[in-house]
Amino acid sequence: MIFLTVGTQDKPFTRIIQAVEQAVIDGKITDEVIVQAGNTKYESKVLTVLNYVPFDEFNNYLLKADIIITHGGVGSILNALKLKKKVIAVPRLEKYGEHINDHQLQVIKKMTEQGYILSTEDENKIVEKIKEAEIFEAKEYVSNTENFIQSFKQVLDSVLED
Amino acid sequence: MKKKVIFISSTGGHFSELMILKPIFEDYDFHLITEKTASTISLKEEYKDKMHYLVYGTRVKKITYFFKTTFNTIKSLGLFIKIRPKAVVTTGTHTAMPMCIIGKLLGAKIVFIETYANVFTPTGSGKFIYKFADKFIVQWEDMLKVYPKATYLGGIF
Repeated sequence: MIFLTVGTQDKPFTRIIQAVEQAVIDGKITDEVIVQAGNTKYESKVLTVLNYVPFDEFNNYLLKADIIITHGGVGSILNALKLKKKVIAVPRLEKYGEHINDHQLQVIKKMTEQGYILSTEDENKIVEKIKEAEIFEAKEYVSNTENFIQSFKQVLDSVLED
Repeated sequence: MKKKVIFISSTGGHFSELMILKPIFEDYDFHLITEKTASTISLKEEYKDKMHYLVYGTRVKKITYFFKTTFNTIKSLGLFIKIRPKAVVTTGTHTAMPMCIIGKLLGAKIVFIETYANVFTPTGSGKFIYKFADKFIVQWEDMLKVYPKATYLGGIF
């Protein structure tokens, strides 16, 4: 199963859903595809499109998926990596009205360079990327959360001392 | 006696990052503030009188944004006076700016965590609050070039 998530912001991210749908219609993707579309309005006869997905259900889809295609939202990418999933990230771009700026390019670039994920800015390359994902050996993401929380607490407590 | 701390952020990814700090909330007399949206409304049941909401607003719709920011500023002031925190902790963005400015002016310590999403460039709210934050945290080493006086703690994820 391929799970495509575009986030929950109020701007649409139609082009990636369209590209995936076309690939299914053309028979280039044969897996079941489930889409978390958030505020992007999209009707499809070949994709399962969900808009509002509660957090637990969302995690279930991430767990069940073989490949996750995601917009460049940090939460989506990191949640998928923590579940040791294969991730293809496609950034929302300002020029298409998909986000208020192009900051999604930054974390996608960094995480691709470091070998955690695959990515493409061109939604038409998605089939190629899915094939790459099938043999991709991702670098394992090691969580830094505990370290961060402990260090942060020290910082906060020192500030509260004064 | 637990020290009073406000944890505040705008909704979405910044709020997700803030909530990663949940394990330490109870170490403080904490209050949680974010924008009221479909995804945050259920938090009131969990956090009850420690949960407060600002109005959701985005910079795209400029006129309504102006009114929402004015409302949020007044509400932030009201909340600050009611809670009287020793520190304000925020992951941004501009929704949290009024509270940070009010907090600084009225004697609270400001702790800002720049988002994981910005690897090379500053956020608007980060750039501004860096000028007066008591502690400024970055999650990428590259960001120390942007914010030389910041503290690098690695990623929150």
